[in-house]
Amino acid sequence: MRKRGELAKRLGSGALLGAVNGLFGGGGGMIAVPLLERSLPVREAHATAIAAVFPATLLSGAVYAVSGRAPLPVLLPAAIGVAIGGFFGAKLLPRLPVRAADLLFGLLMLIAGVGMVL
Amino acid sequence: MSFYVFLLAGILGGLLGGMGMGGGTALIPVLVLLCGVEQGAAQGVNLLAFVPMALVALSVHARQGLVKWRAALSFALPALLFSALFSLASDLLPSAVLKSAFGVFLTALSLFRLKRDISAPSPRPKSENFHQNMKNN
Repeated sequence: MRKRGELAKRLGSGALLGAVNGLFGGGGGMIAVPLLERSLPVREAHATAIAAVFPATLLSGAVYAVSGRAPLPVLLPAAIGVAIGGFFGAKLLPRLPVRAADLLFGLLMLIAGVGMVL
Repeated sequence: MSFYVFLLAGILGGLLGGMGMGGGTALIPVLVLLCGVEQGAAQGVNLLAFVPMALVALSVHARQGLVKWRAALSFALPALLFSALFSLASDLLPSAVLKSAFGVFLTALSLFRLKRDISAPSPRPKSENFHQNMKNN
């Protein structure tokens, strides 16, 4: 019974992360990680979350591209930039003071979020 | 000229994403607020721009046996169906409405995050592992 409840929760969260992924073009991982952390160790949960979100990202990405919402003159340089930035971001992370960085990122997200509502 | 602007935007979005900020949403406000890209286009670019990075991270994690495929599948199947429906639906919304809705979503995520950080500061294992893995490989 407990296992079935867990499966139902996973299917429901999968639906939610798919909806967020399609509607907002990202953020599915933020939903998958905390749920996976309830049944998996932290490292596994983070790795598994990427696999959980990836197919949905490909599919929504294709829908956006076909409907003209992924302009190549933006996408190409941005994708190259993300690869460069992602590499250095991952390298930089262990050198940052964890708590201060977390708070700073949270505040940046808050400012960006409020900025977009206004 | 604009090539370099978007390259810089990508580097910034990738840096923040690589450091674990925003779960792959950081590039969207950068493109919209700093570069004036339309909301829908920023979302499409965000989805596709992270594909190469996700593939690299996934293959590194998979080789280390960290990916639990059965659990991933139970998320991925309903996610596929709903991502198709909602990526079509988002095309029907006016850009200004989509932008505001995204802003509310980002604000909610940030508050959730700040609340968690203030109550219990957590290490950020994903990117740290990614860094470790890159070194190991």
